[in-house]
Amino acid sequence: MKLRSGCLLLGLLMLGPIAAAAQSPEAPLSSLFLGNMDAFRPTAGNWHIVGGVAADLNTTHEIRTSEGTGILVNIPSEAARDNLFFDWEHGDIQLEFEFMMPKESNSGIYLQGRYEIQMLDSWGKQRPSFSDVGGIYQRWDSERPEGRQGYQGHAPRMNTARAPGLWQRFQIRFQAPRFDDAGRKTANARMVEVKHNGVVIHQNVELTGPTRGSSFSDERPTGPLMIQGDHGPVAIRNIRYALRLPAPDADPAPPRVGAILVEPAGEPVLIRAFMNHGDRKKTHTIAVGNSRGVHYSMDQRQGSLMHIWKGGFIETTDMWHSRGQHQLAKPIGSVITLDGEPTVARLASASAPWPDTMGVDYTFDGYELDAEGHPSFLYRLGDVTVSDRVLPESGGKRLFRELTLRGDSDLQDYWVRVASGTSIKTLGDGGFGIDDDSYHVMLHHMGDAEAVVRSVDGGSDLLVPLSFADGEAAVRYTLVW
Amino acid sequence: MATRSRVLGLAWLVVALAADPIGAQVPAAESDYYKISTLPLPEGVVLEVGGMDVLPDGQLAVSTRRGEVWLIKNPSMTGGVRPHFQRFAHGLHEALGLAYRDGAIYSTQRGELTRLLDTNGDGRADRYETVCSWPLEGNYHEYSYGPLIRPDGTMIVTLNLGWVGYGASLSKWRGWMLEITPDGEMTPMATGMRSPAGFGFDIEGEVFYGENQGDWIGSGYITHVERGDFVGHPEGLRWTGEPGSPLTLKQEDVPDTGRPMVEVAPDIPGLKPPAVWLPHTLMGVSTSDILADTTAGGFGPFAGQVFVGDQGQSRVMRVFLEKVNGVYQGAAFPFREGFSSGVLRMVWGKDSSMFVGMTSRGWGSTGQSPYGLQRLEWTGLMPFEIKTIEARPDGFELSFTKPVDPETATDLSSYHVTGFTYQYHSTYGSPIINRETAAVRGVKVSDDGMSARIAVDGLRKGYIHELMMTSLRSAAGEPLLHDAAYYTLNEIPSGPSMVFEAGPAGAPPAAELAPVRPAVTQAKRLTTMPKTWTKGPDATITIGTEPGLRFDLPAFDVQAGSRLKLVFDNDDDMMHNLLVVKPGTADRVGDQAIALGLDGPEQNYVPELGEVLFHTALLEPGIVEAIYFTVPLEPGEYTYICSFPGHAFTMRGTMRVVRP
Repeated sequence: MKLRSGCLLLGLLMLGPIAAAAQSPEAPLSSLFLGNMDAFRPTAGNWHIVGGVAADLNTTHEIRTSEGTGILVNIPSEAARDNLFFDWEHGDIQLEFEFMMPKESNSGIYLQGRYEIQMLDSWGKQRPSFSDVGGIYQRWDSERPEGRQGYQGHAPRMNTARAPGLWQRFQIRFQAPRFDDAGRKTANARMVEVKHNGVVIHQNVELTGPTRGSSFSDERPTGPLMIQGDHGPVAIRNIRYALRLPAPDADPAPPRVGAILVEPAGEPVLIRAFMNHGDRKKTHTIAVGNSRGVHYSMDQRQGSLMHIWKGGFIETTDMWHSRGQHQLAKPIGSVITLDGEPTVARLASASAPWPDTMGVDYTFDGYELDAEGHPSFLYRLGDVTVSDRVLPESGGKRLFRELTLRGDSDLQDYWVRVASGTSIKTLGDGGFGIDDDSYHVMLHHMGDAEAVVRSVDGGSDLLVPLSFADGEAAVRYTLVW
Repeated sequence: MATRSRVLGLAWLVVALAADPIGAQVPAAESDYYKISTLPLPEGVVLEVGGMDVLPDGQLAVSTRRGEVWLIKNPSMTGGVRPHFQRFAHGLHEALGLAYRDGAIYSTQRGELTRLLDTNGDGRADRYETVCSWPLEGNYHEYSYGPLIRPDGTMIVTLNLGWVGYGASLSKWRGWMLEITPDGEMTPMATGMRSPAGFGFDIEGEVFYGENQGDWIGSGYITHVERGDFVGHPEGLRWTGEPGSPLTLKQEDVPDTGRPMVEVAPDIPGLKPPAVWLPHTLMGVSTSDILADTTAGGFGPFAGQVFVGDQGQSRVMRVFLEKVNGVYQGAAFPFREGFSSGVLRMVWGKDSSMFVGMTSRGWGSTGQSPYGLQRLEWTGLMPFEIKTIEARPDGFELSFTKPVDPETATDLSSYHVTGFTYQYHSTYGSPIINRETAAVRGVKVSDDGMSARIAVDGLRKGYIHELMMTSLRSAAGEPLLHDAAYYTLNEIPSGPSMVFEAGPAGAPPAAELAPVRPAVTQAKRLTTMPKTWTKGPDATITIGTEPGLRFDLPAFDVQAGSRLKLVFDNDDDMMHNLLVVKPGTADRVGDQAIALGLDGPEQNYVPELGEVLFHTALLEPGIVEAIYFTVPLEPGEYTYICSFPGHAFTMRGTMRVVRP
């Protein structure tokens, strides 16, 4: 014990100056090997290593697997539904992983086996609670009066849940409780930061004790990670961690400016702004938000979708506070970044590369608002006029896009690109999984037109050829995430 | 200063008319003649005004920096009724201009000119049509303004330069004025603009634009703009090789000499100097809108003249224009200050009142509100003002709004004329240079007392001439409401000189003709470390800036009697200084800095006062200066301020001197 203290002290002395010189260094994360179950304590057999998983939107609690390694999956049964304990203990920890849940499934990650961040199919829920995905679950005291046994749950700041069957991501920074030499707790455990699908949903949340379902009633400097296994199937991959937290900024300046947030309450809200798309600043963009909490942005110079997201709408502090040096509007939900390249193009051949920008024959004409305030974007490409609108669907779970194109009946070689990505997987019934199930596209019936998935330059395109036989063509699809 | 009540002003007038006029000591106030009232805004409406126009039915249409368009019914608050606000449109990208024509509202966004239509008659736009779009680089300073609509429907827009430590044209046509047909056909019209936030027609429909001090722009001004003009800032010349450019001048054709524009202009084909300079801090600090007085007397005695807004000093200036030898020039006068925020837009209501739309976000203004909408009305009382100043071959002819007192008006010592100009160079701003007194040799007052012609020696073509007439009185004994005017003498007319007899005051003393001005040395600005500080300073404090006229360090502690190195890093995009002043004296020092007048720039806007303890020079953007001083022995809360006119209200911090 003494020796160990000495080592720690030495470590601190050596780290001190470095930590002071470079504020908040990112601790390098280690990957957990998922080629076998060696990293975990034995279970009744409900946890396995597999090579592939899939779940669909409509089948409750069903996850399909294929052989291989790299993915940890739980398929519980009446006989086997153990929680999964990691084979090592942790105090402070940075932890990241991806997870996929089938419809209506339920699990959770317990830091130190005690403090749970909920995993649940909360897709499309308008007002998430502590018991939805990303929530810090309630504590529980059965001695308390009926109806008040649960306490101190923390709802996520917004619902950033993805649809069943899509990969989601947690990034957690957990600070363990502190104890003095006599074993008395001197500081509560703390969720320093939790991100869900890239969005901060908790910061500096203090945990006064274990949450409901904890495997231990006490609190300790260390404990094993635990994943709940008794409530439903879940798949997990890309587990990365570090057993320390970045050094906090020694002398942080208090924030001086409150956020300027735009949240649609009634009609859809449009914001024209500069927005970053990947690492590029786009100067002619239109973000459209609605009170259903499902939003998108367009690049009017390309007639393209740039982002779709759920959660909050837009932060405009960097535009509307003082001079707004960067002039950026920032989505504040969990964002799917789309290609931002033209949606409509004329191709010399079916194998010609898709243009990354519109040419001189493209003109953006503006937009008109329907009776409910939803915009239809109007643009021209050569001899084709396009009306392009995006509407919330299923109460805000998805977005529906409809392109109506008009041109002479003899026009040929025009295409709509519905999606592009590193991979496009055919799911059947007009469904496609884009970029390893980051999001799905459901093509609506288009008459005779056959969608084409093609590979070009290491990527894939989902294309629909256009026929103007009736002077008009339409492409309709739903984005699911 | 301009906030005295109307009751008091009227009371003074009664006294002045009834009693001994010369003995009346209470000065008149602007508010006696022009009354400001405020339109109350609905709670939650952030009306950072970017553009304004009045619809044929009298509704006021306002676009905002947050991209909304509001229609305001009953903006004159007739019958004491609250104005009614209806949101017409939203989601525009920093809509810094608005104009109505033929049932449509046009607004310029950062990246396009947009036509807004309400096709279903519910009072809200449902079509947002892109008339013409242009590229952007993504710089915050890429503002776009307009449109100004010509009688034939052609629309004029202007595109601000970006700011990257200097004014930069980062995408095509930045720094230009463009013309756009209703069908969206765009033609570049003129370039050389830096920050053309305001432009308008004069009474004859000629286009004038207002410019803001910065690199290549020694001071604000307004310039007459015609197709093919180059009006001063070379950055926009980057695009003169593009199809459609009416100019062929190149950036490298503009020498960076630091000489005055009047000397350089003959060598730069197409360079058009300002019609009227608005001397920096003496008239304004950030030129905004231009509005000709089309009220035919409904707004008072200045019909046909031009009003020019100033954002930073929350005021409206007045300009009289005339054309001499085919060139526009004229005089600038103070007119009305005391608006609640930064004046960006002005427009006439149907009742000949002026609506003034304001914002101060990001740049600060003397008026402390972040935004607002006010209305300026003539009270019907006649101020005693210089109405016009016209150039004559040998001087100036002044007309007045009221008969002058013959005694003071014929006294040569009532008129002081000083010529000066600015440097034309890539440096930010300019000191006042080549300042010389011009001797007033004679005066002739008209029989009705409504005008006076003065003969002046030493007029200089291309120079600004300050006319100061502090002791002139009206026949009723009033002093001028504004005793200074600034005439830009681009051209000197030909014609007969006036015949006069030298006035009783005679010629001014020779010293006044060619003043020998001692070089300014400022002992309270020590920029090298004293040799006696062998161990260096005891402490070093670095202070930078934040947008919106603020220092980035609100306060710091320092030990009494210690040796301090104070570094001021002017990382803002405008000029600043830093003065350490005695506790509780910041307001007085700020006011005295403004009162320095023409001497201000030369003295770094540092008044010679005991209250000023230590100071830096006036620093251009991006310049860092360290000063060294021994901290006062007396503990207390000392203030540091920027004394550049208009900045001291917000740009201040506290140096807490504590006992060791």
